[in-house]
Amino acid sequence: MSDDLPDKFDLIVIGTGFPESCVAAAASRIGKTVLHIDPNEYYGGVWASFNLESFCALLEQGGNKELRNASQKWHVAETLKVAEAESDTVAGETNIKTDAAKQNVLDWSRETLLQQSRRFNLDLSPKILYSAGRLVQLLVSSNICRYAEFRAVDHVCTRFQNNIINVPCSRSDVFNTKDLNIVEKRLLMKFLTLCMTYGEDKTDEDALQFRGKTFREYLQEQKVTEKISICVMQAIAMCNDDTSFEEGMARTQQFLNSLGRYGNTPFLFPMYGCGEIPQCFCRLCAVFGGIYCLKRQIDDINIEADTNIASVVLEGKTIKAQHVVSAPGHLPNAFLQRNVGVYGQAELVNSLSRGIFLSATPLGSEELNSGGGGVNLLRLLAGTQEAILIQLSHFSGTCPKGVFLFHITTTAQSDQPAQDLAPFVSQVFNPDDENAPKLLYSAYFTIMGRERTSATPNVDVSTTIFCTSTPYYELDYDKSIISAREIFAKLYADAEFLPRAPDPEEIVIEGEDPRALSENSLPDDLREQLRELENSAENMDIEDTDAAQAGECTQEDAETQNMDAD
Amino acid sequence: MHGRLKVRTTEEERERKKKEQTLKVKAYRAAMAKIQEKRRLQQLDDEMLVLTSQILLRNPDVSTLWNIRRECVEQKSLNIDDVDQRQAIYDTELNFSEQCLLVNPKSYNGWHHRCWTLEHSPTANWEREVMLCSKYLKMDERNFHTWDYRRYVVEKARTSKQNELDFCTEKIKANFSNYSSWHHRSLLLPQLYPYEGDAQPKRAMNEEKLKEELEMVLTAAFTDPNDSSAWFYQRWLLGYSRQELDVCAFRCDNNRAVLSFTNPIILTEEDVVITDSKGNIKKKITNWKSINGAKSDTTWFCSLNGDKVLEHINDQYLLELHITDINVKQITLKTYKQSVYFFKPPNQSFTFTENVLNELQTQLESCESLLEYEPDSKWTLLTSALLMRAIGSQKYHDKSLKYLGKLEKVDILRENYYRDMASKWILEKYLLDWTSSEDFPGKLDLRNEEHLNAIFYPQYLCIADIVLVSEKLNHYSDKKQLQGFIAFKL
Amino acid sequence: MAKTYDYLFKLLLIGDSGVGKTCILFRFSEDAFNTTFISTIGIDFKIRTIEFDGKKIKLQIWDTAGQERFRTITTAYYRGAMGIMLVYDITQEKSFENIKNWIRNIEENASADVEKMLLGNKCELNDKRQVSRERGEQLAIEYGIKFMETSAKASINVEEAFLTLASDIKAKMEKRLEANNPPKGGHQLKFAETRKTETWLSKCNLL
Repeated sequence: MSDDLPDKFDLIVIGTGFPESCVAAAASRIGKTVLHIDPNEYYGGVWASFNLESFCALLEQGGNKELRNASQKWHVAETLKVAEAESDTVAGETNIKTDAAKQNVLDWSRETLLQQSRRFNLDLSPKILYSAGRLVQLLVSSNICRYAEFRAVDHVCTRFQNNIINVPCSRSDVFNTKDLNIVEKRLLMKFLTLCMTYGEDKTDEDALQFRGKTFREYLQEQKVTEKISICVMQAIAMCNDDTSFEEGMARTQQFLNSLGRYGNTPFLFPMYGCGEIPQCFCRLCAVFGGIYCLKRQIDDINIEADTNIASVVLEGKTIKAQHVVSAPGHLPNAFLQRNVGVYGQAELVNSLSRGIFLSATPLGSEELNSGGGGVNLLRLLAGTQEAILIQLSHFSGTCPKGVFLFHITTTAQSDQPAQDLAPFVSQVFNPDDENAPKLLYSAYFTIMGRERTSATPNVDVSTTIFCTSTPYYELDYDKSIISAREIFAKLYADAEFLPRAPDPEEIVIEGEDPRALSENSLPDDLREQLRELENSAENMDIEDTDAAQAGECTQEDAETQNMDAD
Repeated sequence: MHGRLKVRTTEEERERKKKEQTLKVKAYRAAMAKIQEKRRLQQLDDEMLVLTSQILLRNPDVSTLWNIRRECVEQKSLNIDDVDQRQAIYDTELNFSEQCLLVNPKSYNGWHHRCWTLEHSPTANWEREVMLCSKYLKMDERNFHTWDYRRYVVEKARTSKQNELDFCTEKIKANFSNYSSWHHRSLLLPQLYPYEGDAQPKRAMNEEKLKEELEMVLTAAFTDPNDSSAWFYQRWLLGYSRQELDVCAFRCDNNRAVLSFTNPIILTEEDVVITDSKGNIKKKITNWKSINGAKSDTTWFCSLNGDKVLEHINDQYLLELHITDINVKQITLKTYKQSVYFFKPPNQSFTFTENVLNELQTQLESCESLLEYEPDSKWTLLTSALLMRAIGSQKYHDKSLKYLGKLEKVDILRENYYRDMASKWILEKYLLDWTSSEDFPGKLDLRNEEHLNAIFYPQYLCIADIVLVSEKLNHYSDKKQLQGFIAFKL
Repeated sequence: MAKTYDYLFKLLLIGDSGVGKTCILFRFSEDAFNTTFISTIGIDFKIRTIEFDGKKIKLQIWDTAGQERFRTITTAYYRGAMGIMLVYDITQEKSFENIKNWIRNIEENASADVEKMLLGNKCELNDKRQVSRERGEQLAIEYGIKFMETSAKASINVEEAFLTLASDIKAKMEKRLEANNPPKGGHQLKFAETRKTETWLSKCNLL
């Protein structure tokens, strides 16, 4: 099939992860010819979502270059029958289960979960979006947002005295919460309002007073209670004790600016998982002419010495390109051995320790999971380490009804993700705690990333091959977008990065007169009216001068008509 | 090879839009001309419905066209006996007005047309309308058109009031900056939780519920003190509503009589009689004149031309009232010099039961602790002052005035508002104290009340022979209201 | 301006390259036929609003953007789709055979209750026909879906096909609403339709 492909492109992108897709879409958008390849048979690479079956299979085979140290464990029996026998329930009963009964852990088995495999979208690299954050802004400004749907995160939580409590985000949250007394409500509102307007006055005294101090010190000065301090530090500003005042304030403002846009919290989660996000960028690339090939291996890349043009050998066929952008794991060995300078290339090291957990019950109180639970965000602390926990219910389109999906992510400390995550997992899935969710399934793996400290090979300015970044430890996509933009800027220095894609009705079809009014753009009933008008034009005295606003009566009309009203 | 993307330039787009506009105007005028012609010929047929809908969908505020539609519908249903077929005509109208309301959810005409359609249709589905309201209130929870319409359909659908209250609570939880939903609440609560105690004036709802409401509204007020909707609701709860109609004061000798009420009323000839203790009529007082010459007034007087109403001044006299809105029918009069009188000082605050008092006390404490953090918070100061008045206006008189004094400084924009409020409270207290003073009721001396900036209860002053006011209140003596009693010198 | 339709249906066109998906799309949305459409890039979907039983239905019809060529249609393309037009070319046997693959693809990625319809396009080219009408009908029966032969060029059945699909979706949807079973997903949000509603500063203020 490769034979059908043109033999020359402006850009070949290898890998369909987030940053690669970003660059591919941006290049295609400005009219560059793009060939986008992925050695995998699915979109997204290390940014993909999997159904349960293929996820288990991926872990079973030990992952791949970018996903290592995989392990998984079923905490339920192979089939339901065995489970029932074990639990001493009524023996010999048939296997018909109602939806309601599936609430119980005993009602799930490996078999029944795998039967619902397609209802799962398990993210390798789950993210949460700030409603006014960099990615959302990019999606909106580029019009890529039309390819995705989002669910507003339902609750932002924090741990307070071994309980998981809701962090009131909006005004109505503060009003409704039972966790704060009215004086605390006032203090929290006052503090947040203060943060929101902070910086408007450049000569703000606080800015001078707290320069060089930590955000915690600032909070202490504000005379807030301990509970409020924890809410702000852990969930709103997402700070540590040594976060600077400026940084903490900036994060608080980012949180506050994202409020009140789409839901009750400042966060969004993509419906059907984060694996959708790179696909949205790919769709834009395709709409602007980008060509897609999955499950294709790159055999080699050669660079012509005098022109710097790359010759990519794709399953035996050579395709030329001005530039090649690749995910770090996908450059062919033959090429790497020649040690050519590659922008951004580095060794892959352990980057993120990941855990994926399934349970039949959600985390935290009934109040945090009203209406069947939603998407909840919880930042966990253990010593100086932190982790992000995302709870997803079936409303997010990432798991079947009756199952709750938990992602925990922390920075990798070792090649043993289970060990890295243990201090966080024990806080939420403690088997001795009756109220903690009982696990059905758990999996651990490491997401590999570029070594940040190692010096990249000295790269010529006119290099042809670029390596993208791997997932960062961050809530949103900020750093990934910055690095994708950086590559784009190196490729096409003066071009705009993802300008707004026009809506279909704005586009002029080839051969069409752009000034002409297509009758089709008029509503059906008006069109009919006009046709009739043409037929009876001679009999009627119709003025079409001083075209007032159509469909709206003039002031005079309105007045006479109102007098007519009863 | 792929073609390049071409997007219309703004110039091209403008030209295109202009052409489109012209066409639309043409179509609009043609439709209007046709409608007028058809109406002249009384052709109220389906075509007329189509024509009017074309225009109304774009501008639902052309009242005439709605009227024409109603004529059409009436005409159409006239000849149809089958109920289902008739209903179908009205269902079309409901669908249509719903679409118009999608275009403009605040169209008076659109909502009115729905009412008309439902009232005239053979089988109206009121429950569906309640659901429609919920849908529209989800889009805009502050649309008062929808709230009004909701009250109308809820009444018709006989929806349980409890459900309505729950709905209302949900809306407030979602966004409490909503006068409409607080108002809706204030209409429901008195019906759902009627007050059965005997305190006068009557409380809006039973005290258990009142306590809950006070708690909720204070939470709203603390969450966002700059939002005024909660404060207004709180005032309503604390009884700062309009006072019930009652008699304030009465005084009479053989020459003149004066009678005043809390609120303006129209006093007629039959209304007032003076009897002796045995109930014998001594005098039917007619020819009342209002003090301002208005038809309805708080203060009324008349001249008795030395009728010898009070033959023996030391006898017991009674005042009989035949006014429907006033519960008290008979008032025992007291004697002062050569006259008889009655006086009931204004009492703006309620006397609450222990239960509510405890809640108010807790709230006051919360406010006080907040004032430690924010000593200048105007809303906290004002609430504290109002709470103090509700708990015990006498007990907290000085302190509440002190808070108002502070408010005058921290909220300079509303300085006079707080001054007026203080004047009101001062006068209330003064009038209460006056009843036990030696001068009562002949002389009222307000000269020492330096913070009295206005006189809010002139109707209470009418029984005094002389009212002494300080320099700054001198302008009041020009007012007719005060002239009344000054003229009434014995 | 508030939304001016009662329903919004997302429909997809699926089938091999060259069966005339884009032409069907333009025939329905613009009532036009012109082969240069195909080379017009940047068009994601077209919109047409139709009226049914007094309800306005906005149809948003998505094209494959060439991603069908190497079978690389993203899973995201299928999300939220309520109806799918499966298109083959009656003059291309292969495109008919591939319908089975496309159906498998749909089953794997689209919602289980998506309404489907089979279209045999280019029916004006009867002399080059490779797939008989009966085979099309049979396949449709096999999958329990409706079938029509269409011609975007000669404007045959295109309008009818979309109206049929839309009315089937509407019926299904109303049934679900009657059963008090609202569409799943809690509040799904589309950026383009959402504006900043409640802010910290939104409040009533009189005093």
